[in-house]
Amino acid sequence: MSDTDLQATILTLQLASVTTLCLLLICVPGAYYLARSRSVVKPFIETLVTLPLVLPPTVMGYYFLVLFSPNDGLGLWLRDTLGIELVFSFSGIWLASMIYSLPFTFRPLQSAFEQLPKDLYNAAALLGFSPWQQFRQVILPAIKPALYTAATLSFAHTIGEFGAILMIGGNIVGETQVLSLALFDHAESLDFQAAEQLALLMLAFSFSVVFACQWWQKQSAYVGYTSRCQVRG
Amino acid sequence: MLSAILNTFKYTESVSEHRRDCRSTGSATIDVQVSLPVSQRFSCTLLSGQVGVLLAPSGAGKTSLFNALAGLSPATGSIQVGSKGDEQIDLPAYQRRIAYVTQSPTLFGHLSIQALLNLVSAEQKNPFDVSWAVELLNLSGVLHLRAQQLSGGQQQRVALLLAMIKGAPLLLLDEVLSGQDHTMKHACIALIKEFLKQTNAAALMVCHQMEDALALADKALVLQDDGSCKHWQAMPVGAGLHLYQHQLLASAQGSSNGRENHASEFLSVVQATTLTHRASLGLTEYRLNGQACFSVHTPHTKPGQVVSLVLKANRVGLSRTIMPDSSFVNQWLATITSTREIVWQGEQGMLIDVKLVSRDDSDVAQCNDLSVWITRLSFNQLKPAVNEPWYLISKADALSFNSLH
Repeated sequence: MSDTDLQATILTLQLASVTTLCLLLICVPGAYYLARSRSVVKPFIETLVTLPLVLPPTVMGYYFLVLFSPNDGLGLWLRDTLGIELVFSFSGIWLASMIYSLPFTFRPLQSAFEQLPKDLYNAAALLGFSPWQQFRQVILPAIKPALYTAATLSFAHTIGEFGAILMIGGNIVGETQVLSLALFDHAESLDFQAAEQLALLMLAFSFSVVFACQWWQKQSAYVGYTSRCQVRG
Repeated sequence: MLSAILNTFKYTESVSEHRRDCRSTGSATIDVQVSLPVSQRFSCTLLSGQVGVLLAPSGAGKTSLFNALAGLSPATGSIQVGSKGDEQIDLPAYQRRIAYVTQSPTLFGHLSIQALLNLVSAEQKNPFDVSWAVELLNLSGVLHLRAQQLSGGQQQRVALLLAMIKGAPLLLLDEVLSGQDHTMKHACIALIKEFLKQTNAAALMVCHQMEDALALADKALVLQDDGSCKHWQAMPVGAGLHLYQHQLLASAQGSSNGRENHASEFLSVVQATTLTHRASLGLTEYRLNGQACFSVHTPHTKPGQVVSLVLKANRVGLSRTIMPDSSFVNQWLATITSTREIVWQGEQGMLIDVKLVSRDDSDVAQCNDLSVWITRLSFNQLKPAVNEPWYLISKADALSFNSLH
């Protein structure tokens, strides 16, 4: 594997990890709130969150490019006041990945929260669990499989991203060139040997991630966590 | 297993209702108004160790009352619990010192039962140790399993334990005994009694099986409808049961809703004072309103102790005269207060309400309303009428010893 390919691999892993972590931090409270909300804006928020699922990535990338172009508007303000340039930079492809993978994190979490029995919150409250403890001790452990699914899906999905990154990030080696772009470059320059290597790597990776995730979910469904200590009193 | 159950039936000393009043402070004083979904007013004071049983037909709003008391739905008024009478009404559900076992409890499915017990006791400031009760409720074999692997009855018993861990001065029990078999029902009853004794807590209970209610209740709460608002009235168990059964009859006669009550099996509760044990004759003698009363020998009662005896309406007969040469050991003089024809749930007969005649002034006038069930044929031949004196005749085994109050 060449240096540029290695760089692309590291960059891709970095991007996917950061994106997944940030998405979880946002989506867990967001989905929890939305699942319990009866607000009138709920369907609109749901639509917005799901939109990246059907929107062609290039369309999204295009709007990003227009919005954050440092020549005018928001992009200009961001560059002048905060010193942030989103176009053709790592933070740009990170933001794009966040939005692009949002539904893959948000929807599994939301449906897991919604499927919890309504009485679970009451049952926890009746046993003296404060709202924070209800969330931490009862709700979060109950949706653990969904949490894992959400993380895996968004991680894998970010790794395979192409269109949006190409539009907003360009294809700058070491800066915004992720694996899928590197593969595209190799294929275009008819370097099929290198292309083959990367394609195989990504195929193997995707397969093992999904496989491990499924195996883990099966395990978590059957094994309780502790039965070590006696009841305290 | 059985001996464990029996050991927990520790009989307390003879304490009359009156003397108990002086000894302990109120464990729960409740006066609340609930408006949704059924408008009702509930006020009652329970002393520590006491159990109040709510007697009302399904749909009367018992569960919504409990939800309101526990803080899951709104209510106005006052709920004071514990020896200091801490006010609970303004607190959210999780801060209330009230434990509540719901009708179909939801257990956290991600934990084993053992881990669940540990988690809940770690969450309390002063958890009540229930480890001794695990064996009693026959749950030791399922501690490593998760809630969804348990039967409904087992889940309900776990929920009972979890509620007890909270160690709250007020315990609300919504149909806790209904999913249990005979043995486990008695284990649960023993456990609840022991819990109340150890923690000085009080309990409110909803229960559709009258026998179960009788096994625990110190007080009955019957729903009265005075037109504008329904309110719960506290009364002695015997009187409450009598009123409730007549309410059932009044509301359900003609319509055949599938309840398991039969008018012929209406229960009456009488308070009798233990006199002597006649073990050689297989009898225990009591005083009931100054009249002699015999039940099958009950060795655990002490002379002088007040006990509740339960009588089924179809186990008692009527006789115009006393019957000296008969095997009916119980022959009590009573006055008929009402007679009515019952056609209900495929049954046909006469339900005769009587009041026991008191032959002893010193005996505190307890509830002495009884119901007697006779066939139409007997009624036509005997022609009992209101205000006439009649003898209630029954054998000793017609009286079942209930519990001590």
